Amino acid sequence: MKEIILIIVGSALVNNVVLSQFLGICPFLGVSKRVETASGMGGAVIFVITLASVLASVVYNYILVPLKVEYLQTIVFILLIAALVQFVEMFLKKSVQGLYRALGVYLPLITTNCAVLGVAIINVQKDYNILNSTINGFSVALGFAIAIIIMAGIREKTEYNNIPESFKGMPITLLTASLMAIAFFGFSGLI
Amino acid sequence: MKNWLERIYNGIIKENPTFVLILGMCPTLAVTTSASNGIGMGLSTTAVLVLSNMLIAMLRKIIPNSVRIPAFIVIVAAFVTMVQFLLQGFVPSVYQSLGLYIPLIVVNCIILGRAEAYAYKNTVMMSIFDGIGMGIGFTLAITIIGLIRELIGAGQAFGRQIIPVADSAAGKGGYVPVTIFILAPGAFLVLAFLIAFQNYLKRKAAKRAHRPIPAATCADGCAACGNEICGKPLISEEKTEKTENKKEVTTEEKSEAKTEVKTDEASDKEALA
Amino acid sequence: MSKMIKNAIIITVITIVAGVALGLVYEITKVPIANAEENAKREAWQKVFPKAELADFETTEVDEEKAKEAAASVNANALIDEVCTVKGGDEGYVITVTDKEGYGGDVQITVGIASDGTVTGISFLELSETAGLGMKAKEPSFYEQYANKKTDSFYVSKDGGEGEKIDAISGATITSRAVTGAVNTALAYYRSAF
Repeated sequence: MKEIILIIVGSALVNNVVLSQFLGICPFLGVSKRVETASGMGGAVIFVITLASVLASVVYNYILVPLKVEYLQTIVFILLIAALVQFVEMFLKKSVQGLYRALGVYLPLITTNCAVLGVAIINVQKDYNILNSTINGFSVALGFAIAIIIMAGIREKTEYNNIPESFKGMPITLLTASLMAIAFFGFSGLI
Repeated sequence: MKNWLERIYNGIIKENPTFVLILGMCPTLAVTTSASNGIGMGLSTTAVLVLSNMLIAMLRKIIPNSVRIPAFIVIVAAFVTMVQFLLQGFVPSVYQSLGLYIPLIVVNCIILGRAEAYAYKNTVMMSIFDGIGMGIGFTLAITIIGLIRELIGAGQAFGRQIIPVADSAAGKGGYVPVTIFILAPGAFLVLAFLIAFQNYLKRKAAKRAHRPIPAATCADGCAACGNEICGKPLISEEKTEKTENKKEVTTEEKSEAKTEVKTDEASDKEALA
Repeated sequence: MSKMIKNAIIITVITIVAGVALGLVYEITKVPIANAEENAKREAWQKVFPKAELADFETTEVDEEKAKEAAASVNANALIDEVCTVKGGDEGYVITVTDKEGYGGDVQITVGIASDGTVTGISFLELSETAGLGMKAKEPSFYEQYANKKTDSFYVSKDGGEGEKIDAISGATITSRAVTGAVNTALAYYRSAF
């Protein structure tokens, strides 16, 4: 139990996937203009990363390791993620209309979110079993959601601020991210 | 005009993947804690980029349009793993310091982006030069970022102490490193200032030429990567393949989704201008 | 429909070719990778036991049970990877430990322990910490703190504890803890196994 709590706190807050590992930067900067869209993206990412962690872990432990083809890891994982995103999208559209309406737009963007592949590889590197991989995947994605929603909140508030011309757009967003990263350092005292 | 020279110039200056297109942010921010890490990452990415551009240009007549993205991903992933093994065997120090970020070259938007935007439509030779240009552009950019961070954050350049560091215990005066620059926040900070500086230069040049001031690059580099190059076409196209009976609904919804994103971007550009 | 099958075949062929090519590269690079690792290991052995000749080192089996107990007894999330005897254990032992609690990834170190329990030195095999912070563990001012000390355990200055004090690298407490955890695991294993 202690180990599980450590994984959750560690992955969601202390080693926040965006602010300290730099995974999933593109959506973090690109889809964080409105809190609403950011929450949608965050939800979709939690959904996909958790599923992808389970699948990648199962495939790695029960197919790649017994066949001694661990070197195919990267290729298999990325295909798995691409296929997973497709299936999730198709499934949601057919069966869970409400969820699809909420997350559908964001799903296609997730294949290239390096956090998904990153988590799958980290799980393998850390020798997590399937349960721990799932928990780690979920908490990493939770960390992503927290970061992107906070970011969107700040950007909504500062949208009409009078900032130097050259800093408008990307630079001010990066500066905001920098300050958030400093704030998240505070969590490192937790573990 | 020598076409291949133009390609290399394009990659380094005109369409520099990091500063102008704002692609491949993950490695740009993550591995730039030192200049040598930047070079290692940049050269590994260049190798993958050149090889994948070459192969994709070779196979461009064979790969069907509708499954091109999965095909690109497979090709890129294979090259990335090969580079990973080569590094592990022959330059283990680089392999160790880049760690997780080597396999993540697969999802570096620069590579898929170039495959889609250039290699799939052009000849083999030109695609190779495009890869070289883009690769050098990327390498230079992240080496510069790495150098700045290393210099301010530790007083070092390429791992060598350039500025003598103060040591209060020994009573020695000197430079007190601003450690935050080699930590995560420093990555965002340095990139923010570099892009702002570039915006400033652009605006100045535009003013002098009495041209309209270009909108700041903002996040459309990223959004474009996510929307147009890497994500959207793959999905919408495959969908028309896979769920033919639901085609109408799909396209309708897709276009709706796209306009939503587009308006978002447009409004952003407006706000910037 | 036939178009779909054709597409599927093409993509399958590409995937298979890529897989086979990868397998080939894997086979080709297997030897250099193993060599590189072996060399790094040898260098580390020599570094922690400068007195001994390369021929003196001999790998012995790791007692998994005791390794687990050792890590648990010092509260470290660490694994014993390899144990070597130096001159059959007369001179001492070299223990390779991986600690999973590093900041940027695993920390793998080699610990030399003389036959009387003195730590002769430590050397890093794998360290992917932040440059300028955790990476400073590779500087003599940090790692020499462990050398030539005869103790049951080390502790990081900030945390307090029993045994010898280790001054943490400023700004890299996590790395300092990981290294110390690994050294303590090696010591605990040494005590229980030899």
